[in-house]
Amino acid sequence: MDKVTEEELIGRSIKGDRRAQKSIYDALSPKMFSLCLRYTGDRAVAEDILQDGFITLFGRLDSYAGKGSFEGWARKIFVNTALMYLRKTDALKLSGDIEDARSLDNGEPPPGQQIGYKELLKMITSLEPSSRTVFNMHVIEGYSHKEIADSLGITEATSRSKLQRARLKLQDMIRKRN
Amino acid sequence: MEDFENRFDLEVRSLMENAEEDVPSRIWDGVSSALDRKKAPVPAAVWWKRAAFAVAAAAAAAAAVFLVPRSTPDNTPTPGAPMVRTEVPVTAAPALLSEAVPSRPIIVAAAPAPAPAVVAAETAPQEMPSPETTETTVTKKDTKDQGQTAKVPLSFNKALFNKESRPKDIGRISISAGGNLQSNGSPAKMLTGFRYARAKAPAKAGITEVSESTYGMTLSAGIGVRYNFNPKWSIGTGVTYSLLSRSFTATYYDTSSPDLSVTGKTDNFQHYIGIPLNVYYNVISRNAIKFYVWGGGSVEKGVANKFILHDSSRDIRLTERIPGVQWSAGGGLGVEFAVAPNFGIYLDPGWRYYFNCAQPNSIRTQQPFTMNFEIGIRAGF
Repeated sequence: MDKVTEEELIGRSIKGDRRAQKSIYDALSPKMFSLCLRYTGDRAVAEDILQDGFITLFGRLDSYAGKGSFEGWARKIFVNTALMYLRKTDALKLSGDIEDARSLDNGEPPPGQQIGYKELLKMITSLEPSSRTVFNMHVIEGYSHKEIADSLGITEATSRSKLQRARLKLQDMIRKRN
Repeated sequence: MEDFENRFDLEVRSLMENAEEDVPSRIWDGVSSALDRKKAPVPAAVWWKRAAFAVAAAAAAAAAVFLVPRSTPDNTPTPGAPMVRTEVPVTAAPALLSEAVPSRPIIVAAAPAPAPAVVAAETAPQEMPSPETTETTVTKKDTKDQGQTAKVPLSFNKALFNKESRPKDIGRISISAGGNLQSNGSPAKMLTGFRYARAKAPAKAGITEVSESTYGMTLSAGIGVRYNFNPKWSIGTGVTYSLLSRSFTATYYDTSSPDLSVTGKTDNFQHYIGIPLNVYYNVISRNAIKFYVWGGGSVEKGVANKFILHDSSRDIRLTERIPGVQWSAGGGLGVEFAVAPNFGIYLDPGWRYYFNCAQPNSIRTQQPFTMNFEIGIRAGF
């Protein structure tokens, strides 16, 4: 969204202008739907989270201070909404299998560049939920391990371990696919 | 190894971060409907119907208790057994009679319930009441009738509806203590349940609601004083305490660490202290029962708005002040049953409208027109 337009749209949306809200929705929803899919792996659930996330977003628009990107601010709302769902369904319960995993670095280039979005999404959503959540939060959303630990109620070591296992699993799946 | 992982992460991020998916149009329909629901109040007509039904039920219950003739042995004299009697109004109730120094016995027909009644003491010779009448011997201090024995038949229903009401009501002060249940919007779960409703506005404590709210019934308790101007009109005031509750899922954004938040089930309790001012009009006033209508207003000050967010690792407790006051207006019917000369139980079903006073989210802001049912005790002087 253009910066000036974005500010105008936000201002009008806070006042309840439905057309402005729709414009914000149109601009954000494709990316946020992708985010919701990444966290849940289920299209129907992702749709529910997307809807709840937008209701939260419009209810909380007046707290957006204009500092930092609006999309980044919105992304946090959708991540939190997805985490709320995962907590409710106990999907984030740890399996207890948190031993350190070894890297598969064998000198070859990382396998990420050899795959497309749809395939990678499918692989990410096939990960065990807690590993998938840590992977999404750290690698794609950029949260630190401390932030992830605080948010999920786990230790930083567990967060690191979950991340590493997710990485290895993904790299393994990509290599096998090739 | 770290470089390898970083490169892998970057490649994954570049692929996924800005990826887009086609969004079904029904999602916007759902969002739009939810935003509309926040604004649309429940039709008032629905609440009028519910309230009318509840009042009718309360009135029917009261009538069933006090108007329907008992199937147990009747205390009224049988038509075939007339008696000559002189009624001497005795305003003292059985409780007071028992305190008096016994000078002579009086036989009084036992009443089926301990309701106060005007006792008709017979001073002249009389015929016996019908054999069905249960009799109990009591004594009463009466210097005029010393040495005489009188049988006093009492009809419970007649005594209750003796039209000679409480003449001392004028200038009389009564105090009351009672509790109040207020509807939470769910007729199916009126007594124990909750009402589901959207209420998304963020609270100032950093709590953002991300789910439906479930509202508990409002509980109130209080004490009051009522002054009778005349047999019909009286005015009352007092102090009340009200507890409003609701539950929802919320996200807590810590202002000191805005990047992360905690989400979980949250209980919200709002505490209010109020001062009501009501006017009462007695429609029917008998010795043992009164029917009246009442109306008035109330101002309440919120003293605390507490949130308890249940996180997996800990409970986060937040308290915020409630600015301003809550004004409301209400009215309803009432019935008071006397269980002793100066002591009664009252039931006040009614309606109350809460004005928009920028108070925190609650059943009052979600559904400002509510029905309430107050029950309590009242003592007179």
